[in-house]
Amino acid sequence: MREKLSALMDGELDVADIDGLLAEMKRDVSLNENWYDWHQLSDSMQEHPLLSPQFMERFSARLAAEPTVVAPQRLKRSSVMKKLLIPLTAAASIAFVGVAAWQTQTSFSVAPAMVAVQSVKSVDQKTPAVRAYLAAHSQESGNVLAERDIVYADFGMENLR
Amino acid sequence: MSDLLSRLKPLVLCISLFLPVGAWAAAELNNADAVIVLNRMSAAAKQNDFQGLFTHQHGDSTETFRIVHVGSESLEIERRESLDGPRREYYRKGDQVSVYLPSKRAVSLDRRFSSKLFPQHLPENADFVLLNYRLKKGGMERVAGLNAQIYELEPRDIFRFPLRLWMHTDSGLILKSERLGPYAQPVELFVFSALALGKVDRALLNPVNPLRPVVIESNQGAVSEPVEPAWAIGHLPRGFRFMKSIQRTLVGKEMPVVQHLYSDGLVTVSVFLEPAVAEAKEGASHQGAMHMQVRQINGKMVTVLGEVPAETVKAFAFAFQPR
Repeated sequence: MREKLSALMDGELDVADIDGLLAEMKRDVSLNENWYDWHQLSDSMQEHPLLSPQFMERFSARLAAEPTVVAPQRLKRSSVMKKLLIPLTAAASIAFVGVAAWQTQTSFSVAPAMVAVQSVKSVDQKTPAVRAYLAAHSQESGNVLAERDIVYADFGMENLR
Repeated sequence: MSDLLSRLKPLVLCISLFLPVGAWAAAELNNADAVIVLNRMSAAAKQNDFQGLFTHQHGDSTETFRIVHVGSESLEIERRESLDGPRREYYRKGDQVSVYLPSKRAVSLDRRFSSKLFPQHLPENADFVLLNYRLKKGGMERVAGLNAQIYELEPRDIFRFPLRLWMHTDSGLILKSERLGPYAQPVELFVFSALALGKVDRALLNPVNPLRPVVIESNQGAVSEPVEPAWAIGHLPRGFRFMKSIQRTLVGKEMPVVQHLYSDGLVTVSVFLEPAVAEAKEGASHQGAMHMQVRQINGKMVTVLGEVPAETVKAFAFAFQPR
């Protein structure tokens, strides 16, 4: 089965075998995990950038909001300029993806400051519940000695937009 | 031509801004070497005899613990006690664990996690870790008077934080471990301040507090599928595997809560599933590297907790949909 899975990944599996393999993957959890692990390995080896989880959602929403231009203005530029514009637009879209990826990297280094500012409200009311979750979490992670962290846990709540 | 170049200059500058910059100059190890190093570290923590003092710094708190470990005999024996803060003690003989904790709450441990305390906190499965992290080799540093080689487990994606390890060059024991957080600043630190390797005084293994045994669950670590009739589970952040599901009653809750545990080989994420609570607000919060996300949907509530970035707990929370 593993050889077939590997062949499917490389696009070398016979069409006739694909349905059978897909059915087997639905049945066998470990095959499914292999599939994801191998893809993850190949992605990381080829250094494919990862986008933020909601990237497609936000992108689709913004695309839908763009007005449709029925009659675009004619470019009053020389043909040399036109040739230059094609790689430029390609570069711009690369730069756009770059910005998107870069923003997700920084967004979580900005967020903590916001939390710190907003955590003042209703901390006392919330902490007992948070401590219970924290205690359950650290116990399952094996660190039973972390009680002191739980006692001093001081999570604030940052409201969603 | 020079005109064209000067036109493109801002663009080139702009693109070069997005090129990755190696802030921490270190050589990446290939997979085979990385497996050898990680296995050496975890074997050293199991097989060596040592005693020492280590400090755990987390958030605003700093605590020192005494550790005595015998690993050269057939049965591993280990005793830890806190030297400041509330009295706590941990004693392990093979798979049997006893503890002394200030609170009287019942404690149970999973066999897979029962021996995951510093300096033995590296997982047994190095391959799984290396799917999600790269191992990089840094410089040398002295820790507790001993020579140490610095390594860094650098995440392969945005869903996890880096972990730095200082390995004793002679024994392979981890002398210092530093977890980096949201600003790439250290948020959790374990470090030996004194360490003596070799035969330990057996008297040091005797407990000093009245211990009570801990129930060890005999889950052998088989990865199973989560069974959750009330919830549909969508795409979880990459590299996390379902470990187990527990139903428990939390302090201050009337209804039992279902806790799912996921692991990426190095850190664990807990997902708590329960009916919606009127006073609980939706939102994200964090303390150090520990991030939390609460989400209420169709009369149900998901709470995700783990030492992972905000992105990760959020992705987990949004992967759970009530059926």
